[in-house]
Amino acid sequence: MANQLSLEVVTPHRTVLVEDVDSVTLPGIEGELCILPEHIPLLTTLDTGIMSYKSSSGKTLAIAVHWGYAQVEGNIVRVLAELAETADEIDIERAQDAEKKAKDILLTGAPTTSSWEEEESRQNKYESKLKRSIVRQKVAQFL
Amino acid sequence: MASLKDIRKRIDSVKRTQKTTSAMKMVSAAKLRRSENAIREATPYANKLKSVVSSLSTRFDGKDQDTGFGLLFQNSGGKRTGVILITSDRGLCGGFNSNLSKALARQLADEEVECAEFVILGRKGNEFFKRSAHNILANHTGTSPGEQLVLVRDIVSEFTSRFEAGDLDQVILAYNHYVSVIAQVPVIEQLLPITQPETEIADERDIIFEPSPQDILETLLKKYVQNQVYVSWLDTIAGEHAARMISMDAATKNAGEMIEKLQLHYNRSRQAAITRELIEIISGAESL
Repeated sequence: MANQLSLEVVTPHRTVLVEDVDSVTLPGIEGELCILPEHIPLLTTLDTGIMSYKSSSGKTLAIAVHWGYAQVEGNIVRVLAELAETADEIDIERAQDAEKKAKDILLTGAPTTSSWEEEESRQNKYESKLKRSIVRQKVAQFL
Repeated sequence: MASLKDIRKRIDSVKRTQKTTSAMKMVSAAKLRRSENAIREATPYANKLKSVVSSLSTRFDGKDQDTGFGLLFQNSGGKRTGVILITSDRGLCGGFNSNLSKALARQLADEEVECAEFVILGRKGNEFFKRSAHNILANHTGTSPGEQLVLVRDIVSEFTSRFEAGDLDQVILAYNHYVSVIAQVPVIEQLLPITQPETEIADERDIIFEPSPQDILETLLKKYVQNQVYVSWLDTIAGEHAARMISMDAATKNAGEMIEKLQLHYNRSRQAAITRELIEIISGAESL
């Protein structure tokens, strides 16, 4: 099939997905991008976000990816993610809890340290936690 | 000569040891299967990361040395060395850890590195190097599989930033490569400066980069180094279990042989004792 993309999603721990798909939407660091067959070669960094793809059966499915790279070469799309979870792997309750916890800390939390850098990295940590939990919940709804 | 009771005790004790070693062998076999699986799962990522790095690095070959990523390739030829040594936490696995440690010590001596800075994963490497002249920065033991990636990330980013700052001239990675169940090979390789992955042809096609290629490469290279360490660690873990399985298998066999020998000895002495008693009785009866 010439007009399909072969999509591979791998993480350091395992191969998450290998499938032929019609199109892929990636959460690029500079914005979402949609890849269709015959795309020009591309290499991009991925943000935490939803990667959705249209499988050959016409269904749209999603995977939560947390930071990584995507390489498009010919009709092959390789996604190297730090973490990737399919919709059925996500524990939605845990994600909701994590969202609440991160929100609480970000909204009400007083600085825990006096140093600027530490405080900033702490903020960043919880911001990315919040983002991850939101993405997880959105992906879970694709199921 | 040992009395009958002593021999019996000895046999019992060897039997108990045999039970332990054969149980350890079984445990290692199960663990080996799991760690082999972990390697298999991690390989695609490692390979793809490598192919991305190699196709990217040909693009910048030698040019723009002052941009951040160029630094990681730069060889200053000095002797200040950082070492990441991966060994196991536990022993009873043959020469697995000592072979690696000895090979590493020899290499460092060859290169005339007198005081390398070590980060050691696993207790055994620490035991070997703690009395040496080298400086051990940290020793991590008992790391659970879930914590490995984070730990590796911390160690590597520490070393890369010191390397970039010019604090270190090279970083070496030493681990046991798991070839098969019966073969584990100590591998000592240079982690930094990064050796260019061998590439087929320079990649000249037009590629869109988002964000700029420099930005991508900078983070990508760090990921690449981290992944190298992580995969080597998985390799070492599988090797450890394989080595332990083999050495426990040998121990079980040896115990079996020993039991056989002792049993023979025991039977002979028992027979001799009976014969002796009979002779005593008969000669006593005759003298009457």
